Amino acid sequence: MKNSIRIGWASVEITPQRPFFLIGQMYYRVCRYVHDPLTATALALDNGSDQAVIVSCDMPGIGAELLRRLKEELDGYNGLDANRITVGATHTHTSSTFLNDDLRDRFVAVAGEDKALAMEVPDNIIQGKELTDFWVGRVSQMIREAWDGRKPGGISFAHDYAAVAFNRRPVFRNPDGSEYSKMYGACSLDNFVRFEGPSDHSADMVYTWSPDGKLTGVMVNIPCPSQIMELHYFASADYWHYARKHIRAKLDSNVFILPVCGAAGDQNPIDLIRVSKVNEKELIDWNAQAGEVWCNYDLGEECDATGERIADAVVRGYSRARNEIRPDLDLRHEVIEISLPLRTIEEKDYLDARHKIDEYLKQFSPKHRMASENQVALFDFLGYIERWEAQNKSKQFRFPSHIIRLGTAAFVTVPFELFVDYAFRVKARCKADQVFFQQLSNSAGGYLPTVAAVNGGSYSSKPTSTNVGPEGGDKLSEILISEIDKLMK
Amino acid sequence: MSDQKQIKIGWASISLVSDRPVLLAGQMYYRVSRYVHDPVTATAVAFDNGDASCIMVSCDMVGISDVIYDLLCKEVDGYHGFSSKNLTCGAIHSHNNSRFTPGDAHRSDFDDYIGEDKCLKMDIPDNILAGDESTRFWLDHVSQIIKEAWDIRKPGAISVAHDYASVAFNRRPVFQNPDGTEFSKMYGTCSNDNFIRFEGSSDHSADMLYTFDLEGNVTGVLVDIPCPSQIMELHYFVSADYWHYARGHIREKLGKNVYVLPICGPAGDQNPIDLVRVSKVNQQELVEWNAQAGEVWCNYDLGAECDDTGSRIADAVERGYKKARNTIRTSVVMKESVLEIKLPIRKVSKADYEEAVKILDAKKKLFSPEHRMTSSDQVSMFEPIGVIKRWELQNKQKNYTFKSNVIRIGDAVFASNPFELFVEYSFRIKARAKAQNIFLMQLTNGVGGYLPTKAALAGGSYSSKPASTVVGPDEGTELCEIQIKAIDDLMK
Repeated sequence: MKNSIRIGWASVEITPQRPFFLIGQMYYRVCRYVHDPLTATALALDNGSDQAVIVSCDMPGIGAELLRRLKEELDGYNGLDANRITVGATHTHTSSTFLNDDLRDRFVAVAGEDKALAMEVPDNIIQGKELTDFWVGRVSQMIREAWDGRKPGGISFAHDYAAVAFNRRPVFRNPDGSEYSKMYGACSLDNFVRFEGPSDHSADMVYTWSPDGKLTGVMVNIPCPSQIMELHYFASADYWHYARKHIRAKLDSNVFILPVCGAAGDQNPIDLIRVSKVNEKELIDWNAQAGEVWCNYDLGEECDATGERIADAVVRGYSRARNEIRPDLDLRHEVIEISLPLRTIEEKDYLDARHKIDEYLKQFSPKHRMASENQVALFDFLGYIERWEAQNKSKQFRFPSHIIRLGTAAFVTVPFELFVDYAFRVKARCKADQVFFQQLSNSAGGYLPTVAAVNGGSYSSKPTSTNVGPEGGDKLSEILISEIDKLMK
Repeated sequence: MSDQKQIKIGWASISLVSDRPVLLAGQMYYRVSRYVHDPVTATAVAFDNGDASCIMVSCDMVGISDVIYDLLCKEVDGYHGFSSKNLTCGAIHSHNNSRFTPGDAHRSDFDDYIGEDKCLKMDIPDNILAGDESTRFWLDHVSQIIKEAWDIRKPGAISVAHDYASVAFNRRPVFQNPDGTEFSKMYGTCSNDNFIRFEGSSDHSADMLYTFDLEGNVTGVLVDIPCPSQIMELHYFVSADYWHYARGHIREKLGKNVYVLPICGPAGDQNPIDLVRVSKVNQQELVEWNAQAGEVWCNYDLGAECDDTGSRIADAVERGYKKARNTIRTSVVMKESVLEIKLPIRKVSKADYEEAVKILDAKKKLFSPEHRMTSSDQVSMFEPIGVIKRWELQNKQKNYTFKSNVIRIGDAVFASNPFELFVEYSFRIKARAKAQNIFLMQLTNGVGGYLPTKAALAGGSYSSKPASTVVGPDEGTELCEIQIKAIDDLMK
C-alpha cells in the first residue's frame, strides 16, 4: 500500500578496541592496527502498513547465530518487528564475524588440538562471547536509534553504472585443449584464454530526503565484495571507506551511506587483466594462502580509485533522483524460508577424503605441528567430510530470504556469494524496475556457482566452498522472480 | 636503439556533415538521412619524435573500408615527409553516417545475387551524396586534417592513464532449449524465461593518452573505449551517437578547445545498451530490431542513454586526467611496426554452399519486377548469400590479408586491427603483452567483419556465422600471438 514514508538512519563504529581475529583468509590473522574504521549502518523504513530495517556491516559475513542474538535483543522494541531486520555484509576480509573463528574450529576438529597450527595470540585479544556481545550491543543500539529516529521524508531511486567488479575466475587451456578455471589465476600466462563469466557493473541507489528536500542518506548496491586489502593484518572497511569519503565530499558531509553488496560470487575488485603481468608470483602466493602477500599495486590507491568510481555513479544518480522525490512509498516486506537441494557428494569421495586426511596427519605431532599451508592442503578434504556428515542429516539447505517491495523496485536477500549469472536472470526477468540484491545476508551460505564454474573447478566451485550447486541456483532464481512478481502485483 | 626524444604533436578536426542527404550505413534496411541530429566529425593527431612518426585518425563512421583507406593513403603519402604506412584511420562504429564508399552506392549484395529487378526499390532523393562523389567529399575532408595536423605539429608532452567506464554490455545472451541445449542470440531478449547467462564478458577499461603544450595545458586526449557508438543506430538521422555527448562532457571538464580522439577498442560482442535492464520493456522491439525490416523505436530515451554514457566516459577521462597531469613527459621513446597479417579465411563446405544456392533460388522464384522483395525478404537471404560469397571467395584466395599498425609512444602501445574483435582476444593481448598501457583499435584501416570466439560459433546467431565473419577463432588466437609479439618487440 502506498502511504507516507517515515525514514530513520543511524550508524555506529564497530571496530573492537582490542586485537581480534581477522576473518576471510585460510591463514590466521590477528589485527595489528586499525587502518580505517569498521562501521555498521541502518536504514529504517515504515509506511504504517509495513516496515523494514536494512543494515549493512563492514564485515566478511553475517552468521545466523549473530542474527539470532540481534533479533533476541530487539524483538518487540517500540513496535519494531525483529523479523523485518535484514543484515548484510560488505565482505571486507579485514574485519571480524564477531563469532568464533569457524575455520579454526574446523581445522582443530579434523587435526586435533595437539596437531593443529599453534597460534600466538595476544593476551588482550577480544573473542568469543565478549566479542559477540560487543557487536550485538553496538548494532542493536544503532537499530533502536534508526527506528526511533524515523521521520516523514522523501525517497527516490536511480540506476547507474560503476566499474568496480571484475571476474576473478580466468579460464586456462591445457596442452590437450581442455580448459580449467582458476580463481585468481594469472591472466598473463600464455595459456590464459578468457574469463568464465561476465561482471555486473550496475549501481543501484535509493536516496532519502528530508521533507524540505535535503539529502539525508543513500543506499548503494554494488555487486562486488570489498576486499582489496584482504590479505593483510589490519582492520579496514576496504574500498567502502574511500567510497563513503568521496560520496560525502561530493554530496554532503553528514549523509548516511548504506553499502549493499550485490550478487558477486565470481567477482572481486581487482582487475586481473591489468595486474597479472606484474603479480605472477604474488598471485601464486595469494592462492597458496600460507600468509600475508604484498601485491604490486598500491592498496590505498586502488581503494581510493574504486571509491571514486562509486561516488561518481552516486552523483550521476543523484542528479536524476533529486527530480523524482516521492513522500510516499509502496512498501511490502515478506520473509520467506527457501529450501534448496544441498550439494551432495559420493560416499567414495568421503572415504577418499578421510583416508587422505588420516595419511597426511601422520607426519605431524604435538612437537611438529601443522603450518598454515599444511592446514590449507586439507581444506577440500575437510569439506568433503563435513558435507558427508551434513547430507546424512538433511539433503536440503534452508535459509531465510527477505523480499521487499520499495515502490517499483525490489530488494532481495540471499546468504550466498551468488554468481552474477543468477542475478542477471532475476534482474532481467522479474517485474520490478530495479532489483537490489543483498548477498551474504542473515546467514552464511557459501558460494553459489554456475555449471561453468563446477566444470571449471577451483575454489568457489567445489563442495567445500559451496552448499548449493547450479541446480539450486536455477531454483533460487525462479523462486526470487516469482516472489518479487507477487509483491509487484 | 631508440632514445627518449622531444615529442611533437599536432591536432586537427573537421565536420563530415554535408548539406545533402546521405545513405546511412550499418543496418540491413536502407536508410537515407532525414536530418542531422548532431555533427559527425573526423579528428587527427600527429606524433613525431624524430625517430618515428604517425598520424591517427578517428571518424564518426561505421567502418573504414579498405578502398577508401587505400585512397586516403595515396592522397597523403609523401606529404611534407609523411609516410602513409604510418597512417591509421579508424571508426567509432556509429551507424548514423555514410560509408563514403565509391561506385554504385545504390547497389548491394542483394541486387547482385537476387537480381536488381526483384529487389526492393530504393527511394533515393536526387540530391543524395553517395558513391564516388561521397568518397571525394570524405577524402578532401580527412586528407585536409591529416595535412593540417602534420604541418602544425610542435613540441609538446604526453601522459597516459588507465581508468574504467561502464559503457559496453555483452550483446549475446544465451538461452536454453527445452532439451537443455543452449543457443546465443545477438540482441536476444533477456527477460525471456529461458535466458540463462551471457556468452562472454565485457571490458570496461578506459585508456587515455593526454597531450599537453609545453606550458602544461592539456591540448587533447585519445580515449580508448571498447564499445561501438551505436545507441541511435536504428534511426534515420546523422549522428556521432554517444561520442557526441562524451565530447561535450569531456570539454566541459577539461576545456572547450580540447581535441578528443575516440578509439573503439575490441568490442565485437559488445554494444552500449544494457540488455538486462531494457529487455523487459522492449520485448517486441528487440524482435523487430532483429528482424531488420525498418526503423524501431525502443522504449528508452536515446538522448538520455547517449548523454549518460558520455557522462560516464567523461568522468573516467577526468579521473584519468587528475593522475596523468602528474606524469607528463616531453621526451619519449617512439617506435612502430607496420605488419601485413595474413589469416586463413573461414571456409564453408560444398554442402553448405549448395544448400545456400537452393534456398536462394527458391526464394527468388517468389518475386518478379512487379512483385518485388520487401526489406524482410532480402534480410532473410543475408546468410545464404554470405555462404555463397564465401564459397566464391575461398575458391579465389586462401587468406585474408590486412595491415596492422603497432605504435609505441612512451609506455603506451597502440595496435590496430580491421575486425569487430570479440573481447576475449583483447583480454589475452592486454594481459600478456609487456606494455603497461595498451590501446587496441578495432575497425581500423579496413573492414574485416566480426572475429568471434569458439563459444560464439557454438552459440550461433549474427556476428558468428560465415556471412558476418571472414576469419574464425583459430585465427583470433593467431592474431593475439602476432600482436603480443609485435608489442613485446617494441617494448624491448
